[in-house]
Amino acid sequence: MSDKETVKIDCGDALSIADVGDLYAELLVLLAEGKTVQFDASQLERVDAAALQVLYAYSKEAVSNGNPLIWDQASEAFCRSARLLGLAQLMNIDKNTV
Amino acid sequence: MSIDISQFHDVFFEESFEGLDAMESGLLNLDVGAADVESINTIFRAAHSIKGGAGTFGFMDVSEFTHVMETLLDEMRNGERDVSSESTNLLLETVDVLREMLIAVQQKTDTDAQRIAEIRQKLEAMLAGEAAEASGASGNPIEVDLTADMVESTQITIGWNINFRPHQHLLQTGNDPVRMLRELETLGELAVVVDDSKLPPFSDLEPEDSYLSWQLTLMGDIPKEEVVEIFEWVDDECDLAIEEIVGESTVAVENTAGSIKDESADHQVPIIVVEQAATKQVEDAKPKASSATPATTSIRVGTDKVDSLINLVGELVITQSMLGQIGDNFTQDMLPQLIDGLAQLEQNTREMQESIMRIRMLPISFAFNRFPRLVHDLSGTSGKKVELKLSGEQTELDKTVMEKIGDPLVHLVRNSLDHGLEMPEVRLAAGKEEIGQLHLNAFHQGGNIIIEISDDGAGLNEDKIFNKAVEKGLVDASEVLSPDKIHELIFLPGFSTADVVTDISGRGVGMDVVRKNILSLGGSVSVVSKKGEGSTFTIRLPLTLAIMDGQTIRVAGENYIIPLVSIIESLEIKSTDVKRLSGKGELYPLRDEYVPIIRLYEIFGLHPKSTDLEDGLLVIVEGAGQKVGLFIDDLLGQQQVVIKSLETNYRKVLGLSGATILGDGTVALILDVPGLMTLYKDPSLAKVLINDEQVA
Repeated sequence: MSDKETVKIDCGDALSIADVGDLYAELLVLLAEGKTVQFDASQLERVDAAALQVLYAYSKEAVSNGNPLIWDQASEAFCRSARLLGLAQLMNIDKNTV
Repeated sequence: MSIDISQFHDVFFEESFEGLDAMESGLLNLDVGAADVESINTIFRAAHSIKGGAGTFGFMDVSEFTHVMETLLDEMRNGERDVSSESTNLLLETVDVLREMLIAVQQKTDTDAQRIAEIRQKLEAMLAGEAAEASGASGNPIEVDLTADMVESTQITIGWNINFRPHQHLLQTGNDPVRMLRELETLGELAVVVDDSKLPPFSDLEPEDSYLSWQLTLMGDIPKEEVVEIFEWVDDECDLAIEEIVGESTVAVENTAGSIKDESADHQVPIIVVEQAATKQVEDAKPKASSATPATTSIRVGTDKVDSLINLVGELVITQSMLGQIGDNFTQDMLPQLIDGLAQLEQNTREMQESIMRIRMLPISFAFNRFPRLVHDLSGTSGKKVELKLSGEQTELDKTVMEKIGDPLVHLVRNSLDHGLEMPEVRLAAGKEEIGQLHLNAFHQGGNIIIEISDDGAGLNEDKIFNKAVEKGLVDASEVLSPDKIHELIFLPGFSTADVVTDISGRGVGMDVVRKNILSLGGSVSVVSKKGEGSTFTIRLPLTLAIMDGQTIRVAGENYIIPLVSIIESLEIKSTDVKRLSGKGELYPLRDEYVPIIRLYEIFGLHPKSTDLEDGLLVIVEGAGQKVGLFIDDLLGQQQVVIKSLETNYRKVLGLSGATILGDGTVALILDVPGLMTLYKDPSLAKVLINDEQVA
């Protein structure tokens, strides 16, 4: 994993359905390039189901490609929302938090 | 910052009543056994909106009641339940109750709790009785309900299993499962299992579509309504199954209805406080206002009409500015410009008036829409088969006139059903179609709207009417009356020929009131009937009550207005033509009939320069189906007048329908022709008027 290039994505303080189009496009490229993505979700205060769904779909795909994403400082709000949707464990949010 | 949501109540009520109308007409159009999905969807959507709105505004009783109805509709929509006449009738009853509940909430009056509970029980029984229905047993709904009560009383809810499967576009409608699940979490202990089986590979993902679904377990003694409420706004956007998790209970049997009531009362506590505060505010502002006073009415206006009005205001401002400039630097040679400007102003004003009047105009379908239900109910009660035909529903009428014509119309339709149309076997025996025809038609004619209520029933029985009139002492047995005159007798007070007093057309307090109400609107009602072929009642109404065409007249130096619609002709007469009857006044021979002369100066206690009939004019007017000649000094001119109510500003005065302000700023009283006739027949009433005038 360490020899692959890691790209950092700053999630900002809010991630919603309004942002998922751009986020998806960006992740699609990174997935095709086989890059490791490190998400900075430390400031993420609001995240909705659409955004979580994209992140989860990416996470699932990345894991199956042997290239799991890295969560950098997932905020409490983000972890709580992911847990509410039953996605926290599936996305390994707690384990991967740096 | 808090928002006072009570400001949206009026809109909610208006939309809810429209929704109820839509539900009612949808239910009446449902074909038993083969209902089309779109019709059920329309009804469902209306119920859903009312439920959602009521929940939002804290009208929990309405919301909970509608929810039960909605569940039944949902089963119909999903094909789980057939549309039967029984379910349709129950839903129609539910619509009635819901309407009563909304009116009670709107007017802050009490609801009929017993009736609400009864209908709710019936609905729940119908829902619970599905198994019995499927096995072919119809069952007594009340028995089924009692059984349900017993089951509930021995088991308690310990939680809910919720299967929540969003449809593809749920996320795009602004709904967020994170928010919904967070709210659920506040109700009890929530366990979440996500189902991602529909999630495609990342490259095929449409990021705004919804792929995930959830199996949720919410533990706690939580009322179902609270769970349902959270999903209220996504009802159409997801598949939702909420199953009760029950546990054994040793709680004694208790009244379920009572417990529901208590629960709803608990939920309402904070909202009731808000409502009380709002009520108090209103009461403080208007100490004498009754709490049952209906809310102010409103009209929904198309933006095109408002836009046109704004354009006209724009033009008016330009004209005013132009006139202002002329006025500032006026010289004699600018007179043509001034005249042009004033003509422009007149045109602007007229257009604006027409435009504003159009805002008040509503299609008569608002009044007609209640009749399919009425006919459905009445034909069910009476056993008569009726086909109702509506035409001209888009004919527009002033909102006030529309509101006031509703009851007379209902009475006429009820009369047609009760007295006009025959029982199927009678019709068949008479060689008619088994199903009777009832036709409501509306159209414009001149400045009036004509509404016809016609049936192909038995027609008016002239012998029966005549005999009844003789029996009641209304006519002399020796009198020979034409068929038309006999038909007119039905409009006399207290006249009823119904062999048996029925629920449908009441106790003979009817046609006279109908005519009186229509006359009070400045209209008229007449009947044409042929025995064995049916009757047609024709109502003629002015398009609006606010403005009318009037003829200005002069009597002893005072100006009065006669409604143009009442005037037949005006003529100069010779005193020698007038017949004087002892104690019965004067009669003028107008072609083949004698017309009573009313000297207006006498009625109004005025002192004219001359009382000679040859010095003035006789204006022949018609009101209440009768002609009279009004003796006046002079005719001045015709103009549109804006009617100002005397009742609002002073009090009701017999013989006058209102007042108006003329162009020179003076006030002119508007004559009420039927009222003048009453005064002519009973001069003692005039004394009251004269005395009052003198005091004033």
